[in-house]
Amino acid sequence: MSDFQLNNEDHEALEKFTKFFLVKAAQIIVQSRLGEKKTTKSKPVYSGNEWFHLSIKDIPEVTVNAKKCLGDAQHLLIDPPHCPFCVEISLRTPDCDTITLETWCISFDDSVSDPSQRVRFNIYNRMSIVLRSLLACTRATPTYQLSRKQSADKYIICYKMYSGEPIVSHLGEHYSKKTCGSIVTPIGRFVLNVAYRTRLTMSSPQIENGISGITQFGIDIKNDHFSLDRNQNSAEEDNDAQLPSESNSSVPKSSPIEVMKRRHTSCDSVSSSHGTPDKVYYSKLRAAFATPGTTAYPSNVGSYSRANDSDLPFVLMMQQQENNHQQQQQHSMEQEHQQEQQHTKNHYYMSGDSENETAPDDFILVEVKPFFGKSDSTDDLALFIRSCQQPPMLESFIVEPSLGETINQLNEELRIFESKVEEFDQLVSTLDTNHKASLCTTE
Amino acid sequence: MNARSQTFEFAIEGRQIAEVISCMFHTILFHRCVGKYNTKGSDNYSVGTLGYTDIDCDYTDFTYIVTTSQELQQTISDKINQFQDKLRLSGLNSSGQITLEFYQKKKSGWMFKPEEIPWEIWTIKIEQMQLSSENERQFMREKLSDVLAERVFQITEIINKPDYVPKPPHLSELDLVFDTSYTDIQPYLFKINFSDTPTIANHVRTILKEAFNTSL
Repeated sequence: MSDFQLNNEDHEALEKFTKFFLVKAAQIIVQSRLGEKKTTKSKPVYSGNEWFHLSIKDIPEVTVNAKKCLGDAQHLLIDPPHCPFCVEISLRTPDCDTITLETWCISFDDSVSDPSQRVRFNIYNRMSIVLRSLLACTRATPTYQLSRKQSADKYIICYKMYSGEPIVSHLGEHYSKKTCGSIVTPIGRFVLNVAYRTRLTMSSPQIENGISGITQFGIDIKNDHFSLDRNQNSAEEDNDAQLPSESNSSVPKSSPIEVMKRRHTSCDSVSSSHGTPDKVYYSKLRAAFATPGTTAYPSNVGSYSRANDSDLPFVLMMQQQENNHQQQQQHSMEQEHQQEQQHTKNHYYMSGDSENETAPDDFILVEVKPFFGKSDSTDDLALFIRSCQQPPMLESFIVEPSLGETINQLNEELRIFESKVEEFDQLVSTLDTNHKASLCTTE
Repeated sequence: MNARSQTFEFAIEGRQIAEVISCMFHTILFHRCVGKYNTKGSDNYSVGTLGYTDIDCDYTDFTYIVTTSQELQQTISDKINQFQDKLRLSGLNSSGQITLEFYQKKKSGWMFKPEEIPWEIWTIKIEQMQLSSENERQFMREKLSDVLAERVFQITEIINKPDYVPKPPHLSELDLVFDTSYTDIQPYLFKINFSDTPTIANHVRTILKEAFNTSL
C-alpha cells in the first residue's frame, strides 16, 4: 500500500477526475453496444463541457445509472477497499434467455504508485489515453459484431453496472481476458480490463425440457422459438433485448461457412454428399427444366456431376430442339393445313355446321406438365416452359460462315479495336480513379 | 536516444492491404493526437476536442476507430494507396513494408535544418497472398478479423506503457513536437515511409539519406 498522501486539493481533483472517468468509460462501453456506427466531431475550440478532450456524447440514462451505481458503493474507488466498477454486457432472446458476453472492469490497485505523477496534468492526460484505448478495444471484441446485428426479433444487447469484483464465472469455460490500459497515480494504479466469452454456449433448463436447436446468433432460430412455454428470467437493472436462446450447442466463433453448408444441405432434398452450394443449385436448375422420359431426367438427381458436359441443360435443350424442330415443322404444316380446313369448316360453320370442333387425327399434341402450375397447356407457365424448351435456333448455327469469311471478320474487328486503343485506356484509367476515390471516401 | 519500434506482420490478399494498414495506423494515431491548441496569450492556451468515427472494413468483418479529421484521413489514405498500388504492381506474391514514424525536431543552429529524431516507429510488413477459392477467401476474411482484434489490443498495451512521449513544449516551439498544419486536430509529428522489398541495401540507403538531409 502506498504511503504517499495527496494534499486535499489534489485528492479532490483526483476524486472528480475518477468519477467522470468511470462515467465516460460506462458511456463508451454501452454506446459501443447499441448496434450502430458512431461518429463525433473534432472541435478545434474547447467548448468547456467535454472531459478528457474527447468528444463523447452522453446518454442521460447511462449517466444516471452509472452515478447511482457509484453512489450506492460505500466508498470511492480510490479509497479502500477499492471496490472495482464493472459493466456487464449480455445478450437476451425474445424468450428472455440471457447469456453474458463480457465484463468490463475498472479497478484500483494501491500496490503500484508513482508520486511523481501530477494529478492535474499527467493523470488527466493518461485518463484520456485510456479512454481512447477503450474506444478502440470495444470494437475489437466479438461482442461488437454481435451487437451490430441485433434486432428486436432476433436478440438485443443488455448492460448492467455494479460495484464489486467482476463476475466471470458465467462467461463460459474458455473466456478471454485482456487489459485495455492502466494509469499510475501517486496513490495507486487504475487498471481497465475486459473478460469476454469466446464460445457461444448456453447450459440452461431448456436442455432438460428437450428443446434443442442449433443456432448461430442472428442466422437460425431454434425449433420452439415461437413456443408459449418460456422461461422468465428476472430482469435486474437491465436495458432490454431479447435473443434467440441457444441451447446445448457449442457454436464455434468462426463457423459461418459450416452454417451456410448446413443450411443448404438441410433445405434441399439433394443428398448431403453435395456439400458445395453451386452443385446443389445446378442440380436444381437441371431438374427444373427436365421432362420425364428424357435423358435429362434421371431417377437419381443427386448423382449429377457438373463434369459431365453431355448433360448440360443447354445441350439438352439443343437435343430437344432438334426433336421438337421436326415436330414443330410438322406442327406448322399441320396448322396450315388445319387453317385451310378451318377456313372451309368456318365456311361450313357459318352456314350452321357444328361438326368442325374436333382436331384432325394426325395433329400431334405435345403435352407440357409444369411442375407447379396448372396442367392446362394454355396456362402462361406452360407456354413459357414450352418456349424455353423450344427456343429458336441461333443464327450462328443456321448461317455458318466459311473460314475465310471468319478470318476477315476477325481482322476487321481487330482493326476497329486497335483504332480505339486510346478510348479503352481512358476507360481503364477512369475506373482506376473511381476505385481510388471510392476507397478515399470509405476511409 | 533510441526510438522504440514495433513490427506487425500480415499475410493478406492485395485488396485487403489498404484496410489493414489503415486500421493499424489510425488506431495508433488516435492515441498520438491531441486537441488543437488555441493560444490566447503568451502562455495561455486551450486544447480542442478530438472526435472519433467508426469505419467498417469491406474485406474483413472488423470495425476500427479513426480520429475525425478529413485532412488526416486524406493524408493517411494517400500514402497507403501509393504503397498498395506499388505492392500490387510488383507482382502477385510480392511483399513490402510501410512505417509510421513519430519524431520530434531539434534545433541545430540557425543555418541548419532542425534535426529530426524519431522516438517511436511502427512497421507493418505485408506479404501478399493469392487465394484460389472462395472458401479460402472466407476463411481468410474471418481469420483476419481475429488477427486485427489481437493487434488492436497489442497497440493499446504498448501505448499504455509508461514510455517516453515528448512533453508539450513552450507554445512558441509547438512545431518541434506537433504537426500544427491540421485545422481541427494536432497529431504528434509523424511521417510515413514505405518500400516494396525490405533489403539491407534499402535500409542502409535510407539511413544515409536521412543522415545527409539532417546534416544540411
